[in-house]
Amino acid sequence: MVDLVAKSPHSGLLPLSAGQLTLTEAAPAFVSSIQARQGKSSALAKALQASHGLTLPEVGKVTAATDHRLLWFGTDQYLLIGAAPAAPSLSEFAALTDQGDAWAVMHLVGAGAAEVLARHCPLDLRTERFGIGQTARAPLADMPAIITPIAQGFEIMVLQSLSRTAVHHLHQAMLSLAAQASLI
Amino acid sequence: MRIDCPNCGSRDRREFQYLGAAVLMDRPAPDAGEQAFVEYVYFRENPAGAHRELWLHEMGCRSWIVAERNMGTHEFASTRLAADVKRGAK
Ligand SMILES: [Zn+2]
Repeated sequence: MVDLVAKSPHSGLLPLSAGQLTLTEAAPAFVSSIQARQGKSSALAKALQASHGLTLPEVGKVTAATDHRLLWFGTDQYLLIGAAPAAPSLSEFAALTDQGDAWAVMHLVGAGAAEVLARHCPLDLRTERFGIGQTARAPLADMPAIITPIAQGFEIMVLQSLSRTAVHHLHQAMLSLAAQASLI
Repeated sequence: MRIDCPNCGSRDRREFQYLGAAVLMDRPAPDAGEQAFVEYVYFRENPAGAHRELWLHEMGCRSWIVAERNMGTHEFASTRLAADVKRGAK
């Protein structure tokens, strides 16, 4: 039997740093989408509270427990990160899809993180408009991405097939910002 | 040009994909006859004014949106989630 070696989506690509900024891989153990069945949102909310201790996030928001989080992901759709969904109790009210092999997760952290991200993402990234507890699906260069503010920076999720491109764009922007800062 | 996504707020037009007139949501009954389906599939108004149309927030929340846009000025009068429009119509 061949013993295959599991590689993470950013294996060999991350971590990277430039100036005060770091780009690191976050590889959550579980990522699942939860799509509420029609008219079942409030039943799903109760089931999530009972099984995961999480409330359903409002549009563009995140709710968090100690080691797992729930991101708003679209109309009546959520992304559960960090824990396997309690399938029997949730699937009565929602369609559950394992997306653990779909998304690559990065953390861009450090002074100037918003300036780096702004090179490739049109969101208003100012902390007062887009802070901890919020999340958005938005373009990163020409890729669909999920952007979530974290302490000192942003969590950035792209499809795993695009991880090399995303790292390239972000690293170029990090190098450019660091080079400009060194001239001042 | 910017479009107000009911979920995501004001976003650049390039995040969206255009599908055409919102009459696509009003599919005739299966037994409505050939003429009804010819009109549903092929015939479109081309008004020099308000137009109800479908957009997909492809690079954002991936929701379908029914927008009312002025074809002369590109001004958007309203945007609603297509799901809400459909359920409201029932
Ligand atoms: Zn949207």
